Amino acid sequence: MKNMRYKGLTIIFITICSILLFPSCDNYLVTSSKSTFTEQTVFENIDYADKALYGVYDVMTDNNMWMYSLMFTMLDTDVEVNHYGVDNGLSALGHYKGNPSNTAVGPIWTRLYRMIDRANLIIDNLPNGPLWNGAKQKEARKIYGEAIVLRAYAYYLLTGLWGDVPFPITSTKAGSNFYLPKTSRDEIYPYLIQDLADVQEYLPWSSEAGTVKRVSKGVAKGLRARLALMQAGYGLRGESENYITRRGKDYKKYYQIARDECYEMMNSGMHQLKPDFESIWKDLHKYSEDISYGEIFWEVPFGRSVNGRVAQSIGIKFQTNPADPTYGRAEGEIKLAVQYYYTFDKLDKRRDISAMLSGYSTTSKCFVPIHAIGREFCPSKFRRNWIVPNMGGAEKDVMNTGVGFPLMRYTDIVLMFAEAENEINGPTDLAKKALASVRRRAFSQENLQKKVIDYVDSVSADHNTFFKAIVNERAWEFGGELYRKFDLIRWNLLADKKDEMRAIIDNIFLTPNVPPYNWVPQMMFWRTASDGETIEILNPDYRIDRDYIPGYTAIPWLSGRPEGEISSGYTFFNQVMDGYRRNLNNYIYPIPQSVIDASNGTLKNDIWRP
Amino acid sequence: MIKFLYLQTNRNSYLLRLTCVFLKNTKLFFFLICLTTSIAFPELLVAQSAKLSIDKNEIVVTGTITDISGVTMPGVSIFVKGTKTGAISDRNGQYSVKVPNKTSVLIFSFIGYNKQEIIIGNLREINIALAENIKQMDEVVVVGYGTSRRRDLTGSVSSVTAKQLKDIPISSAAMAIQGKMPGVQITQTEGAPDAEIKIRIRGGGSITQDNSPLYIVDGFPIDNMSVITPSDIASIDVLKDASSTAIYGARGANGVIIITTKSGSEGKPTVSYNTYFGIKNVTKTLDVLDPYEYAFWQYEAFGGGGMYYEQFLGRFEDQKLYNNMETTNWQKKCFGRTGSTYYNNLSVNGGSKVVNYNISVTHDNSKEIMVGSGSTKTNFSAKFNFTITDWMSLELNTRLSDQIIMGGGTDRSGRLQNIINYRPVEGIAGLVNIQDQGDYEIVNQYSMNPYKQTLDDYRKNSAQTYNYNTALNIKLNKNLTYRFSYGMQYGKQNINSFYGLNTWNALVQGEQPIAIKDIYDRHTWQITNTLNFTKKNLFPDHNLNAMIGQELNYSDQEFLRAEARYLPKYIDPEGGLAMMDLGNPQPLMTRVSAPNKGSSFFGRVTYDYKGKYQISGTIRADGSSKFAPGNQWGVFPSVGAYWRISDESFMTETKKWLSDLKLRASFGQAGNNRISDDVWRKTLGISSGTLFIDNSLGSPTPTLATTGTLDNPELKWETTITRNLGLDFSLFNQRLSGSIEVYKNSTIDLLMAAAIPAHTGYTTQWRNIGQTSNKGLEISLNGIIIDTKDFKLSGSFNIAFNKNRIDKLGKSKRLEASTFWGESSGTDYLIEEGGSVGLMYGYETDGMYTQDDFTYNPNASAANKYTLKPGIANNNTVVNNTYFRPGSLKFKKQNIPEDTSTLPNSWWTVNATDDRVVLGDANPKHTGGFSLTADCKGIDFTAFFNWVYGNSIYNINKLANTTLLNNRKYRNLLDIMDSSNRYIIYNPETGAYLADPAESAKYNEGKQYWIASMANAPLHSWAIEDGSFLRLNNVTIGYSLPKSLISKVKLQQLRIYVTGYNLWLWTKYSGYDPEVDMIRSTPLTPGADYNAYPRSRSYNLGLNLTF
Repeated sequence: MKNMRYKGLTIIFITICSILLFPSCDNYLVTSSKSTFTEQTVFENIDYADKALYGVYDVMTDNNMWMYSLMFTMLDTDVEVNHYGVDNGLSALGHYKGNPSNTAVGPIWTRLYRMIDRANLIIDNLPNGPLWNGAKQKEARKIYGEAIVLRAYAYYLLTGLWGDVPFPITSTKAGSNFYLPKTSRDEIYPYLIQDLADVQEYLPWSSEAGTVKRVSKGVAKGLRARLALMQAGYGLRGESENYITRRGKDYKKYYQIARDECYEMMNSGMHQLKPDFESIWKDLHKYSEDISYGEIFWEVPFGRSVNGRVAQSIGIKFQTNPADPTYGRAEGEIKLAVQYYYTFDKLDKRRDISAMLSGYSTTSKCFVPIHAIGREFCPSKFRRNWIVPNMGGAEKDVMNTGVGFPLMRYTDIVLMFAEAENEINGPTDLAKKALASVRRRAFSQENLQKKVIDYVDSVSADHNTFFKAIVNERAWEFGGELYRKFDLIRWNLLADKKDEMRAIIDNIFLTPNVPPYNWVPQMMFWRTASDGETIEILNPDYRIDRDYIPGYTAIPWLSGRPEGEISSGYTFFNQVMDGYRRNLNNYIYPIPQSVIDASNGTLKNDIWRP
Repeated sequence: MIKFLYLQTNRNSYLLRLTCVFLKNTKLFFFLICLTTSIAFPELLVAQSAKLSIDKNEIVVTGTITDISGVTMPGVSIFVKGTKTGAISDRNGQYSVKVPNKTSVLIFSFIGYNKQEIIIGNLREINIALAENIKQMDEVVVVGYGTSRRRDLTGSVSSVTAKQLKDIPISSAAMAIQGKMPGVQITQTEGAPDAEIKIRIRGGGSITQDNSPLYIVDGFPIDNMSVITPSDIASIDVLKDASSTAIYGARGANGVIIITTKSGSEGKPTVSYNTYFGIKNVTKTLDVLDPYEYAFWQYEAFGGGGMYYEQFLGRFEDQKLYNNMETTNWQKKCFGRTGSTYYNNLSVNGGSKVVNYNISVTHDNSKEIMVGSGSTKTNFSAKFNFTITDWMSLELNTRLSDQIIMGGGTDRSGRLQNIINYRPVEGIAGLVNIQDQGDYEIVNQYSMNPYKQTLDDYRKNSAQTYNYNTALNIKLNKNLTYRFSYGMQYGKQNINSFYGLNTWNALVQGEQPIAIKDIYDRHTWQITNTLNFTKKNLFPDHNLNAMIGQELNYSDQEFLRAEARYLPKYIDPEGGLAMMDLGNPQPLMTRVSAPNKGSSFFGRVTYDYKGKYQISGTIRADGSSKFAPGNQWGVFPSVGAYWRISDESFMTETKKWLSDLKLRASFGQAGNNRISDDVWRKTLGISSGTLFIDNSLGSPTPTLATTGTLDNPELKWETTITRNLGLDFSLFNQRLSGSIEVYKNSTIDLLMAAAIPAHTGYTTQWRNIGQTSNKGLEISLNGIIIDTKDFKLSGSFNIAFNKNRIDKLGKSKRLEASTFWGESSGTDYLIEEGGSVGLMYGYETDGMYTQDDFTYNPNASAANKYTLKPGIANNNTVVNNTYFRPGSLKFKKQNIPEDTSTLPNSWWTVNATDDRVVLGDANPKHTGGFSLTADCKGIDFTAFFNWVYGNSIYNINKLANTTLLNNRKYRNLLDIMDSSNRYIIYNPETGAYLADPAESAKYNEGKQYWIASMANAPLHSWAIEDGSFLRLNNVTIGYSLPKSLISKVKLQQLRIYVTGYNLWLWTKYSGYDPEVDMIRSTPLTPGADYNAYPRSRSYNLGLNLTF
């Protein structure tokens, strides 16, 4: 009996304990993490929505994007080149030798579409959510506008690199159709151009926003103009079975859009050319944003010592090891074509800012001439020694400089205007004025008449000469900014410029005494300046028929080098654009094999040719 | 409630209070109470038990108990049948017991010995000799939520008992079962102290998801077996088919490993002390080029010398001097030291009728062969069984584990590559001070001194695990038992990393040290209620056992990362980690996981007739928080039956030699939900790292974004259907026993991260697609070969064949996977319908190009002298040779049509789409093990071998270390690529380029290998090697001092032994060790050898002491 009582009590006790311990069954199996948000909660709160927008920007700083890989996809033109040997990655892409299983092509495709999907999530949610008409509607619409511009920018890169691509404009959901076929650029560009017109009212100018790290009204306009020029210009379009490029549909209309968009921006008074060309670049390295002039009005937002390889992978070379304690290391992986320097007007101030002849030697603790065969011309708008605060000392091996990479510059707007105006109305005064305004900054006051006014007049005879002048001016103005490849593609000049470049190189090296490049030095004289660091080159652009000048160091230069070295130099020059074929127009990248495999047969590499 | 209980004055209330306090879930308090109880209870309980009433007509029986050989046996229980009265034999095997009357029956029992029953009659002194129980078939096997006699099993269960484990010191529970169970493949992925041990039961069904089995320790699920002290293990049972695993439903699809720890047994305390000391050394190092060969190789790597070559390695003319230079063996330097292990284990086991206990403390201190690498482990466990009343008992079980593992291993930052590749000689740089080191010193982490890097790469991984389990058993009536159990585990892991000055990480972060602290807090609990009904002779000879139960489980995890960069230059690791605010703090990161919850209901019915026929069925319904509402529940039934043929009347003739023959069959389902949390819905998570949109000099801007894998609300349980047919037999009075099993497992609705086109913004989506199957045959045999009083020899053998097949793989039918090793390019594994997981996919090596393959133009420039003839396979686009000429590596062009005349020249280009074939399969044809055990007059001997046969290994180390890839200048090669084996293109005497065919041929006669310079190193068949091996896993020789001798000093056992591990390896594999599996970020790439921590051979000297 006693036993039974205990037994009963114990069972009651256990039952009660069980009830206390057991959670209620209804919700027991539904759990969530405190460290994540649902789609709904994000777009109910302006701060979270802003963070979701940062997620779009974040992709741009990825190693496969502007931090590194994407820069290499813009290479091998007559300006910026890749001197690495062909691999199965970035260098193959640069040399137009990609293939679907290239290791670099997949990650770039993936990142760009990731950027698009993240933007789409915002575009889908904000206008239908409580924020759109709420108290924070101005902020919400700005976020929406930025997402639209960022999505358009991702498509600008995608279509530039791959041509026609799948075109999702809503965020991917579990039940979405994953197997989108390619959409023609004749549909993509008009859609995006309309989008960019619609959101301009939501976006502030960069000076109003106080930052150039976020998208502003100027970016929307500039990107709209660029996309319009791409639609108006040439491209290897979907149906071109014979690999012939053609302009997009209604191309005249799009020149007009580009012209008007740029003109509106020029008349807004919100952006100006910065008077001193060099200070554009020096100030960039100070992490200061150009709010007052708005010359560079969109930068990739990198963080010092965390990411960004400006003045490291792109920029002049600072001997890597031992890294220089004063300024630190800089690899200078991206090069300039060897002839580029010599195509400048000798009086053009941009030449030595954009394509200087020297790099930094750790051994001598000063600037010394670059590799004398000319395979180390580097885009010198980016220089490690310009970084403020200084990145030497303990930071000398830090490769991530955090210097912002300039994506849009006001000069581009001005020159796009001149180009579009010329296409529509010919070299009008407005077009000439625009071109002259850019050149004015490049030459000193004393050369103004000859090099700016007379020059512009001399190239304004007709549409064609003015167009050629624009082609040249963009090369001189934007060297190292990686605009050239997309420009040449839309002008259909990739093959011509390749041949032109090769002709000049051969002229310089193989027939050094034949005009027009018979003035390129064969022996260069240089010395270290009195500051003990900078270099003084006596004859960067003329020959001195001597091999010794007191006080100077002589260095046999380019064609003055021994024959063996020239032939080894040619192995570098030969790689540039090596895979590009005029008859195939094979500049478009292959769609990654992994994407084709996963596409259920909706995608194939029908335009791309090896 | 509590107050009410306080009023009770007997011991029951005390225990109830204890339970109540425990259930209130206070870890520390509970632990203290456990300790207090263990100290306080025995006396208390012994005192109480002494008061038990005794009949006046009592008879006292005394005697001595020995084993067959005459050695006295302490601790034997003596019970009077049908009462609670009894006694336990003392240290000298003597006992004294009071019995009520002459008809009483005394039962003598001792674990592992046959029970004996004796009617008292007129006997007053009963001396008895107990025989050891050698009947394997009567062994008790732990099955889910209960136990069973092995002879009563319908499913497939393999077991290892403490007895089989006791003689050999083992470092982990997993290693204890390696090679001992058919169908359980255990791979120690590398030789590191914290190496992951990969366990696959019958292959594994999932393609992309984890295929590890479920680990259950004393009824509680744990993540890995390393927290269990091997010497605490009473038995390990592996459930292999659904008839046994279905009771674990959701989590049982990949098999279940049940570990039961030792419980106390009634009797005076037995104290055991086990200790061993061991040393270990690396078994093998790889030969690399010597200084002269290195210098000559570098000459080629630099394209015939040049400034950067001469600056560091001197002029070619002086190269012969390298023949006299001393070489630095970096492998010896980095992992060539003698490691040591010092293991101590103390356990106390004993109990009374009221409480049994087993308490054990283990301390294990190891120094590994790699510098800076070692481990310290301390485990404490205490297990109590309280018999409170005749209808109620309580179990308490505590385990505490504290482990510290030092060192980052060889995989981190490609350390092994660095060690192999680093220059064996300093060259001129060692003699003169070169100001401009150029690329020589540092271009990446591979060109930094590996020894210094290893020393400066500090890593301390410490983990504390606290586990508490309690169970209350209540006998409701004769047939019905209720059991409540509650278990909880708290785990804290602290990974401290410090990158000192000589590490690449510090170098690129301001040449200043970096300290990182990662802290994980994990919390798990489980509640189980079961009701068990047993009815013998429901009808005459019909027995029924039924069990129903309910279970809830929960686990979550918190994570915190703190990082500081730019710490003061010369701070030491501990200092840096202790004062992280001396550096520049990075944003603090915290994460809380979504709790992973499960709710289950289950039941089992077993029905047998005379033990001759049995049928059993189980069913389990599982709900999991990993799926969307609506898809949360899965139901997993199973059925099994056996037929004991030997008990049939027509088998009486065979009884003489066939002791037992049983045929069993089972069929059932088990589930799998091993996917990440919250993948059924779209969530946005924070990342902070790379965006600086607010302030470039400040800290990164946090962002919100979806994860890289698209959600899927339609996800449901993955289901494995198993079919098992087994035959158990035992012959010649159980001298030879064994079993043969065949099975087929099919896994359907595979949970996979399936590829979707990347323009969705995602590359993969979680889906239930595809189907795989595993079928196989398992045989195990145990035999007692010689069995005399003085000499006993027994052996065991097992072998398992398994064939994995991918039956369906969604719409795409195939996918490719990549190891992504260092500088690889593209994919190297193929997963395809009809194939198996683990097919290595690449080009077929076709030796080298010959002079005949090229036309030679002596007048062309050096790079263009050789042009490939039409109709010859051209692999240059694939590997991108630095020199494409005779001597270059050649691949085979596949599917060459009979008529090649119409093929365009471009057809001959070797490419990834057309010319890759399956080169190897990581799945072995069979695996197994065998052991021999001998006992002779106190000397025991055990030898254990295990093998794997018929698998391929993808030797990435070989591929990587015989090829010069981009940026690999100054890096060394394996010595198989020395100039006597490698096709050379520079004249070793003059240094001139060997362009001329005749001259080139002169220096390259009989060369085996190609020119090592190329831009890509894709997988080609040369890197696939046979991974078959037979390993003499361990040999132990022990000597136990005679009991007659040691009993004088009150000892029960004193044994000394030596054990050698990994003593011999028979294999054709050229790498460090064929038991390797390094690319485990996805299960799609098994059998790859890359940067594995080399294995060691070790010798232990140990002592077992029991008193």
